[in-house]
Amino acid sequence: MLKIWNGMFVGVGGLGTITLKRIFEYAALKEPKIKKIIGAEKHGLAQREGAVDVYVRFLLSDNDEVPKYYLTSPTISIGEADLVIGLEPVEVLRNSKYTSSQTVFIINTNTIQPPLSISGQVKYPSIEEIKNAIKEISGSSKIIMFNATELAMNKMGQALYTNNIMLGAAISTGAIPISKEKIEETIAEQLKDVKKNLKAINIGYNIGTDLLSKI
Amino acid sequence: MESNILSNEKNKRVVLTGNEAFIRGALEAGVSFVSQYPGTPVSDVGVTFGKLARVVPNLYFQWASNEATSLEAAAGASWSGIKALCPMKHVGVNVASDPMSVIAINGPLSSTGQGGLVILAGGDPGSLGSHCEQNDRFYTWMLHMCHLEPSNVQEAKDFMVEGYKISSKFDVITYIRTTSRISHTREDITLGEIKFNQSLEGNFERNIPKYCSLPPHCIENHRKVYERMERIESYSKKFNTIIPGDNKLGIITAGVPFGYVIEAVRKLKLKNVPILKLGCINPINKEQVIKFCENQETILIVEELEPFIEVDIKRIVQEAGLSVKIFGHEYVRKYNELSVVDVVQSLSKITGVSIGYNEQKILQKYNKYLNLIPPRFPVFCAGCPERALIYSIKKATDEENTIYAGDIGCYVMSFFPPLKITDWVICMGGGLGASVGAAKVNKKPVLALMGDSTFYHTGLPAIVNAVYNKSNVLLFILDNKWTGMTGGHPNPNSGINGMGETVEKQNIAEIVKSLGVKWVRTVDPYQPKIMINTIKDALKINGLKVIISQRECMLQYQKLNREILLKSPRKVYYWINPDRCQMCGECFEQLCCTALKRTEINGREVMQIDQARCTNCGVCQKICLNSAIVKTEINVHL
Repeated sequence: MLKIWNGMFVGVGGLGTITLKRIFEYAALKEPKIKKIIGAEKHGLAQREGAVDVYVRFLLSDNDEVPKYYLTSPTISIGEADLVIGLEPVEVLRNSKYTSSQTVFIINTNTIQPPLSISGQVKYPSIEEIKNAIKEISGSSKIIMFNATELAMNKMGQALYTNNIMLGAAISTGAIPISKEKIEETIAEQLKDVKKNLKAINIGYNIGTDLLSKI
Repeated sequence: MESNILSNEKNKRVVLTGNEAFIRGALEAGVSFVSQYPGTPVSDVGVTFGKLARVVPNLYFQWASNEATSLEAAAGASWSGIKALCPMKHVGVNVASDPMSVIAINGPLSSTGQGGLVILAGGDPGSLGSHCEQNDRFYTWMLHMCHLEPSNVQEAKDFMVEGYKISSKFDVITYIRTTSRISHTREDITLGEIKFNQSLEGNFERNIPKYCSLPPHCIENHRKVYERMERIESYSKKFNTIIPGDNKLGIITAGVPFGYVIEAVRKLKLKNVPILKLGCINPINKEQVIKFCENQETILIVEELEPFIEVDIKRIVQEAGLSVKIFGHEYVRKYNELSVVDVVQSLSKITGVSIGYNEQKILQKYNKYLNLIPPRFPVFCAGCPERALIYSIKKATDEENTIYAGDIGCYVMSFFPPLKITDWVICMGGGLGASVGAAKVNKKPVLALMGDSTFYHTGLPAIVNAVYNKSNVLLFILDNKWTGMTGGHPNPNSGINGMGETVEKQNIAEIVKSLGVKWVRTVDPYQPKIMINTIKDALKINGLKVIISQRECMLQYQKLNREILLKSPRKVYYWINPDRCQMCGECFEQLCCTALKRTEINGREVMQIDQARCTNCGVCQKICLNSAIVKTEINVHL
């Protein structure tokens, strides 16, 4: 059985979207059932606080032989995302056409207002409005939203750990086809301050489990 | 990252970006001389080569002042028998096209057939990181270059290795064209063998007919290049892939759209569609195309931007007298990047097979909420000195009656709302260039912006022209020490070069003065009052005036001083006293810093500073009309 798994990570330039994506890719190399890895990143202009959308796609199979040309597009299509990690809430809404009732969402509610909202020309929607819109567009019930930045500041003292808290919450939903151990192993290999980063994963894992049980 | 690029484990499975794969391929091929001017989507190629050049023996990397000087340097190395690589973005190819036109036709090899030259051209359909999305592919028709287009990251590496073989075997420039979706895609690939046999010991031998492009040699060289391209045509077969099938509709494609085609065909459940994927699109192998088209009723050509493959395929099919119907731009749009969704739509139109999933439903629901989503344009970083300059320019001039010439660089972002004070953007150096004409025929004052990297790139000739022709323009040179827009690369103003060597800064003020500009002032943009007064003074004077707005790029400053800033016991905070904030708009409309946030305190909307993003430039405090912004300094050791 061939299955394509699609992750979509969205945010704003500078939030670490690409680093998060790379953790997935390195971890995927350790997972025998993942036969192919592909995914587009956004560089350049996006680093100037522009909207960032990156994709990570896996070809899953229990069989060692897979077709050479099967998973070939670096970007995903409408309704295809299995997992969305949103580092900024409005950016999830912007990309919500790629989601469906099958999509699991992990969304940081910490907002980054674009210039036109700061200047008051365009209203930045409320978290409630964003949540309702995502719910209707996707039809998904698995939408986990919390302020991961605040949590990182309060529990870890630095916003730097936000993304690993999000990652921990994503692991808790079972939406990632890689085991928690392999992801933790990857973090130990790829990141500095391993202890703190693993602590962040567990904080996220616990809050994810908790929020999921309340849905 | 570099450890994977340098890994010596043959057949090792690694995840690389397209750009990293190009670098690996070039190293496997024995490239020794790399020269580049940065530009998306290939900027990071140079950054990585700069790092590698410090660990790989006999590997040389230079940041060149522009794409023309970059290619000329690479040609000089290749003519001396050294394998050279020259990455540039698609619009950079325009700048390099002048030397390219001679080097390509005369051939890049040494007199004894050593060397090799690959141009890695970064196209950008969809303008993901560019000011326009021109189709640079047509240069390879005009200049007879062998043109390879990888469709995935594995091919990015493999085609680079093969590209050098072609260049060395046939004495041609190999033009490897990538796009953002290849360069910035990561994929798992298998590595080849790497020997690290780099060499910088060249030997240039005089060969006047080959290297001096003058009649009669230029005509003879032109004749010879046709011969070489003919020989490459039969060789180029190996870069193409055929997926067989008995469907009467066939698809011809190349590059990243191939990936979209595979998934689109599957989504529409089309059975046994034969696909010809071209890896070499100039020269296209005629025999293979004819054989592929012979048994088809219809062929759809899927490519991004202007029809390039399509024109050639239509010619080949017509010359062969085949009856197959060839379509391309009739079903595939000629602008913007493609996606699986676009190819599904094109295939649906040509086959009549309807899109059989709930995509339309999702889109309908999505479109209902479009009004809820605020647009997010790229902006100046928090604390950017260029934003501060734009503020002062707006304050010192009458926006309705002033012409503002933009250019390529971070300051291009002053074109986005709410700032909106850029009247035109052409190309590197084009801002001042066009100002000369505008100033001659308009009564309004003309102001032009130019970054420091643009100044060395193609700004200098524009300044010479403006002085020579007594042009009445106020030119701002935005001296932030680095080539900021592409990611903080060194330039002649940085004091460091591509090899990491300390070099003397080429002083902008001195150069401008030596070109004959009489009125030159250097001002810190973090001092808006002084800047505003200087601009007002400048506008009273006739001729070309130059204000050098001097302050290091905040992003670079923070990156390079991270440790010092973290360890410093002196902590500075700017914050807004909510009782004094009158929501006047000076900070959020006129300056529009992204470290500001709209919040509600005690039921009243006020501005606050996002401490996680504020960089302590202090400009907002200087311009606040209500003295609401407070600076607090703490010494954590006390």
